[in-house]
Amino acid sequence: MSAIADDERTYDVVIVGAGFAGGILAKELVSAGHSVLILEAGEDHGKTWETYRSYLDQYYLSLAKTPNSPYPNLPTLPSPSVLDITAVRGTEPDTNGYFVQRGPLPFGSNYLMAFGGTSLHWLGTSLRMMPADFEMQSRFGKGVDWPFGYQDLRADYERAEWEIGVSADADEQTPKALGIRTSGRHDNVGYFDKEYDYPMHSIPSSYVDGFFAKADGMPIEIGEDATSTVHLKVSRTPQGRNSTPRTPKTAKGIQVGEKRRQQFRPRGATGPFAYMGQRCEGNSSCIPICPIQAKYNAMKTLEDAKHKAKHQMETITQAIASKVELTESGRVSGIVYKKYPFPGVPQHELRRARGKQYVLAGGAVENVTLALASGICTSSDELGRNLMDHPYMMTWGAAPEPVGPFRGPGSTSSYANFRDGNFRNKNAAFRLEIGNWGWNFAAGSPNSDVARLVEQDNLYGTALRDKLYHDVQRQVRIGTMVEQLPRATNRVTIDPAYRTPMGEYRPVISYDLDDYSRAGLAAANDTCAQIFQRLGIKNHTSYSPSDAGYLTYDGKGYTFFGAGHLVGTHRIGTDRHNSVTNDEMRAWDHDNLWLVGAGSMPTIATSNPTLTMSAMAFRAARAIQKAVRKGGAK
Amino acid sequence: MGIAMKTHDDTPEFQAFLTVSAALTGYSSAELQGTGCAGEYWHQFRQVLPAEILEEFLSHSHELGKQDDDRIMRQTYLSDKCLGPLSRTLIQLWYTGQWVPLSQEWRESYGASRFDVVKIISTRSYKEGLVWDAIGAHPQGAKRQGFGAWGLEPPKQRGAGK
Amino acid sequence: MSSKKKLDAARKNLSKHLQDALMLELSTIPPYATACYSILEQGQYDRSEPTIVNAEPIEVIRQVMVEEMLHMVLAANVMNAIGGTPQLNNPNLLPKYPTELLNGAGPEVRLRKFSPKQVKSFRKIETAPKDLRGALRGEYSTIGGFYAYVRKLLEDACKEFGDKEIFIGDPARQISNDDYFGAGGEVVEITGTPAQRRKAAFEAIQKIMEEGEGADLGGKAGDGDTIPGPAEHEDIAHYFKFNEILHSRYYRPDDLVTDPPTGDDLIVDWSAVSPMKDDPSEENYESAPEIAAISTEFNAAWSGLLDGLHIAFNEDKSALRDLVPTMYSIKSLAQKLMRIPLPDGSGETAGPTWTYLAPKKRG
Repeated sequence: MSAIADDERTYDVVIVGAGFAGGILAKELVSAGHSVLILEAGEDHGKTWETYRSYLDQYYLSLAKTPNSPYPNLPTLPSPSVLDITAVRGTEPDTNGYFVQRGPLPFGSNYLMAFGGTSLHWLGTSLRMMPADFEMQSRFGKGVDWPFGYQDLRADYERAEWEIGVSADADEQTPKALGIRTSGRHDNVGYFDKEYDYPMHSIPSSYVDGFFAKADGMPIEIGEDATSTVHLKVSRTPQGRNSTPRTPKTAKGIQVGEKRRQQFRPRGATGPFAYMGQRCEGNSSCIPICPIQAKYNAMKTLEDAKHKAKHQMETITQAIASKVELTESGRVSGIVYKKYPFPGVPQHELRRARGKQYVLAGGAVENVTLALASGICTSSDELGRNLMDHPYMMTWGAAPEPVGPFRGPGSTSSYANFRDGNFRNKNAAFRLEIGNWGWNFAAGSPNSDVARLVEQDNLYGTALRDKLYHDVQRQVRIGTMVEQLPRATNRVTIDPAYRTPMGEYRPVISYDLDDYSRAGLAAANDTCAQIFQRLGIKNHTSYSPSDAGYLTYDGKGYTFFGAGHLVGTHRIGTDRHNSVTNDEMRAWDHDNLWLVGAGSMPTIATSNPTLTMSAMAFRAARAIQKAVRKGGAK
Repeated sequence: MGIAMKTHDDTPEFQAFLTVSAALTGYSSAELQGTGCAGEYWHQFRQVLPAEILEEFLSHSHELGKQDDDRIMRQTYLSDKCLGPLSRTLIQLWYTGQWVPLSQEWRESYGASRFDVVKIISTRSYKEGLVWDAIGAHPQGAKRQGFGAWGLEPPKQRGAGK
Repeated sequence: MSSKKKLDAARKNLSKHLQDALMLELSTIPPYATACYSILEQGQYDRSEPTIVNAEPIEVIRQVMVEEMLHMVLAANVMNAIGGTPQLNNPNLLPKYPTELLNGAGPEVRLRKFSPKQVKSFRKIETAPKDLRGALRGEYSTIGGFYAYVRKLLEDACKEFGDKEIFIGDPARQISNDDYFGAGGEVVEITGTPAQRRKAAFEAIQKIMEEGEGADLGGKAGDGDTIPGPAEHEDIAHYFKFNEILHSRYYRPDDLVTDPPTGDDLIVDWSAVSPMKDDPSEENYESAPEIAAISTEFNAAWSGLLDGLHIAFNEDKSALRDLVPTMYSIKSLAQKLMRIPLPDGSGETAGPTWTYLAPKKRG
């Protein structure tokens, strides 16, 4: 092995990964006067507007417009792709893509290794969790409790919402306003601080949302308990995309965490395009790329951090963290990384980054492969276990009238009614997301409609135009996202037999859905059927045993996909036996190591994890600041 | 790559290509030129088609616009073993900006071309795919409609059929 | 003349000039938009040679356009504040191109494709007056001079009759940032006590002047607005934005007005432009019914926009929000026209004529 060259400077904090968590940590730490180094494995995708535009062009030219399609997929640094997902059959793992899939079900989610991380192609959904989600074991005897409760995270939710720039109205987002019959009697009390509100007003509802709202008030029986019946309600989704900034009610401003904040200033695109993207313009391509960056991405926070203190913040891209090195006492002494000068070419230089504190913020899977490869965080045996996602099931059909699909953000509203309730002792909670893009995700519309009408229906000319309008204008789609419980057997491991061309371990994944989640999927499916019946939607949903994500429950078949919500692999907890880190995300086994990100979450519940993960990054940042100061005094 | 766009091609072949394309797509020849893609598609079409088949394809254009266009389109083009698959590929090219390769059977009968591969012709061809106009929307990722446009009434069908 | 009559006359005169201001701002939009939309977006990113052509001039002109729209809103707010009736869809007042601004006293504007000549003519539109002495007597030939005169008219009227007699318009008519956020900057609402409304009205007029010519800002290119983003650089006035395109270089905010820009490169390719016929008119399409149909569709959209603005300024502010998709469909119809060759064999393409159509003529 070649010699490892040491970086000259020793930083207060070395962070692995320039995504949601890494960005917030860097900004908070630099603002507190600490020096920060970020190591990012991927390329710099969008710091300059030229490269960002080139990724937009790549999107236009991609035949399959998947979440990762605009961004380069280096053979040397593969990102998981949804196109690689196939059914896992027999005893041999599926090694098609970057993930090595052991099954029994395929793990269908992806992420992006790049400057900005998966924030480049997230949808923008920014939900807080429900109070019950932190107490799954005590309330329902399922999963685990968090080491802290909703109220302990509330101020960090506020900070995260103002960092991301979330558009929503607090009075629409309480559990009660969402039409949730919460499992706890007081869950609605103090869900928001009285002095608080989101930085921007709600993103307007889509016309499609309005169509679904016609079913509002319809009773749906859920669970065995008659008192659990809920009344459907379409509610707007808090979103990390720019809308109209809220004018504070009083001159004092809006209370966010411990600070009073004046009116929020939306951040638009980078470079000479700063005037673009200060408000969502309805490009209808949030996944995979917002052309004007009206949707939040971590590059904005990273740019803020850089601007706060130029010399305190260093970013090295094309730097793959390869090994966390320990001293004999178990403290981290350095991180060895592979700096490659030419994207796609394995040739690299081995370097070592040094800091006082070290943070792994590379995502729930990459944090684990790095830690396993380094032989760290072993004492609980929880590292890599409890992998969770939102199994994502689609139901689609034809509305009786034009609903104006393929306009606006991918989703602006959902039925949030089923996010909590007494039924959770029997089956998983779920959220029904209303899609604005017709059957795009479900069936490849509108291109597939053209192919069908031309090749099968033998239409041409004006009749083809008429039929396209008729069919596609009526397309509606609901996406079910169901919760998963932490399971020791759903896990990420490594195996020396599977490595990337750079010599790094590929994630080896075992994954299944338990009956709790399957029952949730079934209940959601029944609910969608009722909604379709109520609204006169002709059901076109089809699930086939040949689908990669096909499963059965109670004699019926369903197909699920991944939601890209990778959670749980290095969870926080109350002691070194049940968790990888403490509740501040500090590793139990290594005093100056922190694992931050969605992997820290003990349960996934029904909220897309980004907002919670971002809030937790604020929590970790405070603790790391303290540790740096204390370390400095030594 | 030349950026300056040659907008003017008044050769009879190109005009014939537009005439047949208009009949196949249901969009006027001005609308087709308005996509800015006519030149690129004509180029792709010529690259794939053997000369005598191209000639055959264009030769019926003068029959159009007189009386029974539907009979000509169905009989001469869509149900023809050679011209039918070409017509369907051409319709899809205009609607999606994507070239749909001809079948193996067609290639064996009429000739293969190395340009007959699946691809989106250009960034413009994606954005100008007629499908987006036909469905009353805009290409995803381009031609944005502005803040809140998604909440408005669905647009009426543009240039609705008779 | 009784004082009541004098007051009426003063109000009427002010209203007339503010209506002129509205039409002035409106008149610049079609030429700017036409030039902007004539720039070919194809080939902005060339894979074999990674340079992006003309994305930046498109953005620079776009910024100017959205500020002109903001100025229109500001002028309407001032007009509504004094109880005037902004007219946006009166065919007798609307511009027909080519036209000379300021009722013939100002520079000529034409509908032409993006070219150095056309950008120079834009720069001329946004040129600051050398001094304001003539302008203050009503003898103006620049936009800056015209607004200086409007400001003086308003000052004089407030002095003579008192703020309370001048600011009699319904505050509910004021367009606010909530109605208009995200398009070119902050709206000034003219509300509050009569004195507050006077102050706000002057602020609105000042903003129009600064963003246009940057005249009153002490010899710097900056216009006092902040570019969004963590660096918080100062933006520059329109005159200088056009100068940036002509020099292929950005200004830095502290560049002097007397010197050329000294900032980063701004890449312009004058050849990547649609060969649109100068000052296209409906006569050009008489022998081409397919083009005429698209031109009518364009004009119908443009007319719908003007009708919508008229409603927003006079009846229902929420109409503004519904206009956004119309603005974008105007853009794509204009671009469509500019790709269609004229049947005359000249090699030139059609273009938008920006003609107001009565509702029954919109097809």
